[in-house]
Amino acid sequence: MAKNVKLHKSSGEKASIILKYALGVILLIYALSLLVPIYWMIINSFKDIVQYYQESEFSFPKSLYLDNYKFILNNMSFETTSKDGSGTVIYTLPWMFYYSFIWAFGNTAFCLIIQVMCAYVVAKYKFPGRNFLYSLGIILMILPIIGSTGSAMLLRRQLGVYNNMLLMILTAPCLAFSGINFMMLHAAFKGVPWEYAEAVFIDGGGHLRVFITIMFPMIMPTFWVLMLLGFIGAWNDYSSFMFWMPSYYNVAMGVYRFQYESRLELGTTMPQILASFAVVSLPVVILYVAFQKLITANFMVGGLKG
Amino acid sequence: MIKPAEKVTGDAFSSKKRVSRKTVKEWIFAYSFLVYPLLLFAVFYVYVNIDSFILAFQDVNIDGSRTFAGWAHFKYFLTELFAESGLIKISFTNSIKIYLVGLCISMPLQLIFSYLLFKKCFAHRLIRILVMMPSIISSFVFCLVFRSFAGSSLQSLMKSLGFINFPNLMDNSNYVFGTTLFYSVWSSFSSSLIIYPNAMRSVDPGIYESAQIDGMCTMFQEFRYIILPLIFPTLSTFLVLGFAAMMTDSGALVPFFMYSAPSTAYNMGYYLTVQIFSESNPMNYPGVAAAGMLLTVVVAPLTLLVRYVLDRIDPTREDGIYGKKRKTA
Repeated sequence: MAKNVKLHKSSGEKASIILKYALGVILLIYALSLLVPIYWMIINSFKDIVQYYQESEFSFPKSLYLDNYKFILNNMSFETTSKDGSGTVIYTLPWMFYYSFIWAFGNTAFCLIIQVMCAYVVAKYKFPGRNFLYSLGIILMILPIIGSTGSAMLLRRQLGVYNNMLLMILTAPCLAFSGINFMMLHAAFKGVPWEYAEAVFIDGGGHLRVFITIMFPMIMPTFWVLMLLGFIGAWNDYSSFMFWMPSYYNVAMGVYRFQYESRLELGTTMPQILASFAVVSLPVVILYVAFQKLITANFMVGGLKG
Repeated sequence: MIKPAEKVTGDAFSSKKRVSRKTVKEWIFAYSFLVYPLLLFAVFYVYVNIDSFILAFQDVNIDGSRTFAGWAHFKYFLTELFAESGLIKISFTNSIKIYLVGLCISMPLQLIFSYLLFKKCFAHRLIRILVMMPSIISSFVFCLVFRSFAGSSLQSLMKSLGFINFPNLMDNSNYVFGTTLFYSVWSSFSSSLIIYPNAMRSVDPGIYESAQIDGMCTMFQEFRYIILPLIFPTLSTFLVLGFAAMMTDSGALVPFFMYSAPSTAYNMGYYLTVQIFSESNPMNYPGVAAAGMLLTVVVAPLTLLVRYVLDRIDPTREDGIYGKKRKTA
């Protein structure tokens, strides 16, 4: 009977299979379309200016012209006002990479650790105000309060947080008990049985030891996913530097300004600009490809109950 | 050893016994983890929003002092909102269009594509890597490559194919909004094609088996009657967050144009960003605060309403409409 079912598929099942393949083709075309700009960027970054204008923009370069990359590595530098306004600072590419790493790692790790701490106590401890805090986190997530950026700017200028990377990092987790990260961490802690902690209490350990040695390691897959995605996002973040830290340059901000000003002031060519795009993109693409399985397996969002 | 949550429930909340030392220690531990983020929240969220409320009724002078301005900024915003072709009206309308396109085009496509990935269509591993590219590569890199490509390169290509009057889609003000809208749909699939398939995978496989026994055999039936109801909480989260962000999301306009986008492409998020950051002039801040307050008054209750309605129709909730129907049946 079961064989018959398999051998003689109903018309509904056949239609399903055809539909699955048809939609699959559309999805594959869509996914490949995302490669077109990347392909365009890479092949043109290996062309000299003559090749770029004379040949088709989609043709493969006849020879790999590496001078665009040499130009970027040697010449991409910017002068900007120092954070105390007393003079100027020159940022070269290694310094931009340094600030990219500090911002991407420091900001992501600090925010995430504070979020882990919040999610842990809200998920595992019952204290006065816990339910209120959880509901507040959900409300803040869905309640759009618009237009407060001006006040935030005035306050940050008054407190000296504006244009100060260290203070920007230290004040970043002001909504640590809200948002998708908090929800994912909260759900991860909820899934860890409390019985694991009891052994530590029997051994005379305290709450901090339970958190550090038992609970935190148990949610490591979720933590690493959020860390990786946060790191990638912060590496690519140019807007925080443009809006809140104009005296600092990370690679993304440098490349953004480079392409914006280059054709007007610096006289650089399109292949050189595309080479700068490749330079800023390469580290995060490698990071993503290396950890793709971890990210795709553990990135989940549930409902907004609270 | 008793689980803290249970212990506190028994000792401190349910009965009116004295709070034990252990319970107090647990509270101290919990609060010690929360004190720093709560302090930041008080200063950088609560204070900022209260100050923004006050700022909406003030003017900021050149020397930084503030003077009372009454309803002037609100009047200006409302006048511009209802003006024939005011920038605020264009921005407001475009924000709603962007949201509706996201809701009616992006989200259904995201769900269908996610289902295909969940069913392991051919090349599903490759597709999952490729679709994340707009999130992995810096948004401005992707935007600028797209801009160069959709602008001059596409124009040259079309001209070479015989379409001599093909416009530059990124420079022509008649096409620029449509092009940015296309970009927002085209690049919107990345994380959703990871999250939705993961939510679909969390559904108990036994449910599919029993559905097959009951004669549910087509993809559409499985998608409509099993997948959609069971991933509804995840879907609902994105619907609510999308609605909440309708007036704050500036899309890709900053990476595309910095502060000089054509007026036809403006949306509310971009309008507010330009007002604050283009000149870094504190005299613009009160206008933004007033605009933000008016928009909050409209969008916030609607967001809560959307959430309430979605909660009521959530098929996974026992106290929702379908849950009650199930119980009655």
